[in-house]
Amino acid sequence: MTNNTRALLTAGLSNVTPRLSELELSHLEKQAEIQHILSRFSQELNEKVQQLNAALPLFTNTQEKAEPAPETILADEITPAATESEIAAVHNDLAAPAQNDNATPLRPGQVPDRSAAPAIAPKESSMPKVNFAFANAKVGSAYLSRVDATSHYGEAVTIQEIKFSHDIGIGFNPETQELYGTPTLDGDYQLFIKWTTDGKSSHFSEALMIVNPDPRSLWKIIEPPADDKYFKPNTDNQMINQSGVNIAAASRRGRSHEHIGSFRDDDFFISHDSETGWSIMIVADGAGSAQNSRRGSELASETAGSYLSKQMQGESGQKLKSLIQDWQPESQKQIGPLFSELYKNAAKLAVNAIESEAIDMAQTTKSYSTTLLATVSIRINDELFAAAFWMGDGAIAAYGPVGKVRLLGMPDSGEYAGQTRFLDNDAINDSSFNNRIMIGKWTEITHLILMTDGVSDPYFETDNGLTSSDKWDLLVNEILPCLQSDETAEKLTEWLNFFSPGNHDDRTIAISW
Amino acid sequence: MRRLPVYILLDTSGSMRGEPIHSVNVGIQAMLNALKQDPYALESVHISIITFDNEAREHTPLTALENFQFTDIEVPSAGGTFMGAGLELLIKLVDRDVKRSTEDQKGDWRPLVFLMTDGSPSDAYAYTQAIEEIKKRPFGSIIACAAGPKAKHEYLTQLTDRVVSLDTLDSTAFSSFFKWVSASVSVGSSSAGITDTQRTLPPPPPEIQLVL
Repeated sequence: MTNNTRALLTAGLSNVTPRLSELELSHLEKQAEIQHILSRFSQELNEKVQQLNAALPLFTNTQEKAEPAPETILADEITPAATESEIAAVHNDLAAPAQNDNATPLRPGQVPDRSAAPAIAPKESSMPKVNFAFANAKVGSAYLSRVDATSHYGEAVTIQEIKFSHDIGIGFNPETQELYGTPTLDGDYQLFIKWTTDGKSSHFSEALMIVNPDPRSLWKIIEPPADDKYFKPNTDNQMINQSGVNIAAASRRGRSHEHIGSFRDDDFFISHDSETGWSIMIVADGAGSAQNSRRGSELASETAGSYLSKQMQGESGQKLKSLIQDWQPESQKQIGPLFSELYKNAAKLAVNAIESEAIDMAQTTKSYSTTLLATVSIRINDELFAAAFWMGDGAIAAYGPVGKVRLLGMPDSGEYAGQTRFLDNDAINDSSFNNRIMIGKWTEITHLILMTDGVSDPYFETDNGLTSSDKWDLLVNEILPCLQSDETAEKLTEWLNFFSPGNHDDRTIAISW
Repeated sequence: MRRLPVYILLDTSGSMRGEPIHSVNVGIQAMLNALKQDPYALESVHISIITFDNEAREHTPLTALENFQFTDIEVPSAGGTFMGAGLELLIKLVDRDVKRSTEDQKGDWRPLVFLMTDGSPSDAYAYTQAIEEIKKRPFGSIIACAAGPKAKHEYLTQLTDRVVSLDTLDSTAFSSFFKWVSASVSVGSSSAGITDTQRTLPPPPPEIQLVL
């Protein structure tokens, strides 16, 4: 091509510009755009020449022209090779609509004025090329698809019959020209289609029908290695029922982890101090892409949870409680900074715990990436006070009465799926750290709920979805039977197994009511 | 449902005629069949195929794996390797098709790109320019495959640090490449930090060498 480039360039420019210097020429020659133009020129020229070549067999009796197109088989006997005069007639027919006013039958060897596409082989004229289009099917799902037959020449095609290589539960209705049924087997199947354009002669074509498996049938459950250094059971749950306070938490390994035999990355922590009345709830979601994140989520929730529980005990817990009870402007002013301090310390301790572990195990801190969602709450008479901390995706909400929800923060989500922020020093030192904390005291709150994105994604989908009280009503309605049962935590763990296409992450939920 | 967009860019320059393109077609079919056995892929993977020779074409627009109907890729009678044009088309299609999260819309997973070539870009300038644009976009992973002895690694390493090479252009090599592609696609949809740029991929089979 390089030699040609120069030749083509010189030839192409000879009429337009004065003679170019060697330097100018070689400069032009190297330009990608010029190269592109020239190579397109040679390609198009090539195509033109090829078309002429392709037309040649028309006039010589070769085997090729009698050979049927691979996708189409003539039902009747194969038409004998056309004679020269017939071909001339075909040319004539085609030339007319091509707006070629002075169209005269071409003679062998004569070059047509303009490209007479489509190709004019006799096989095309006696056997129209037809494409059949219909939707893919899925095992176990009702299927109905019209078969769209498109002829190369625009004639109406009527399908008379469709046979299958073997019975897969699908039939053809000639009246409606539709394929229908419920497929029983997945795979690619050959269909034999009998069709006609004029109602007299029939043709046969083959087409491929794709039957997809039902994704639900493909999920495998593989146990993770029992001797792993960070072994974690596939499910976990806990129930606290003390002095009128109910707290339940449940966590379950997602299908995507079950399928490949990897561990649950989520974790939780719940505690209640019956003396002071304070409750702590934490859920954490280890990053799916980080290999030690199951330990990260465990360390973060354990560390932050124990610290917060300790702070809410005894004197300090009582002092905070009296501030909440008081709830005057003066006491409210003190509460904010106190919780900001508490959460900052909790987050720092959690990050430190992860960093120490990473050093100990000679791993990167990043490989322990996790989110952390926490609430510190107390019920006083008919009111609920909660201070929430939200780092990552998932959701924290105070729900109730029916039809009302207060989202206690905003999820950290990126532009694309699966993107979120994880707990690290950058987040703690960020000036907007306090924006992650939300404090409030409300009446008529029936449930305080925390969840990882494994639950919030299928139920709420988008950030706006999270603020929709209808969606929260639906969720609470679904978990109410679990909460009313004697085995709340077990029932909740079972419920977490709900099926939602495309949502197969680990799921963790913590509720107090 | 969150979609995982997968863009496959294939070199259809003249040198791919014959056995090489046949092997690619067989490889893609095998890859589709393998992906269909993965329930996660079946629910989330969307595939688009882009070919490039003297120009870039959208061979198949972004289509759910479930609805995908593969038609063999053909190589035109002659043609260069306008890989830059291929990348330009990729950028156009990604900007058009890949959904970002908004308050009301669920964003897609970050797209995966697999590029296969048996040569080097004929439009080197456009190629370099397109790479600048590619770097501005948050692709999940870009994996480039240099197939056969004439494929130039140095161009591909400008595009991504994930370059693999195949010694030959036969069906064994391509089928193992596409099998690996499907394994890489399966791990493509897991949560990652906003700043994470690369995903961990499964180790390639022996027919595929990692170019470092």
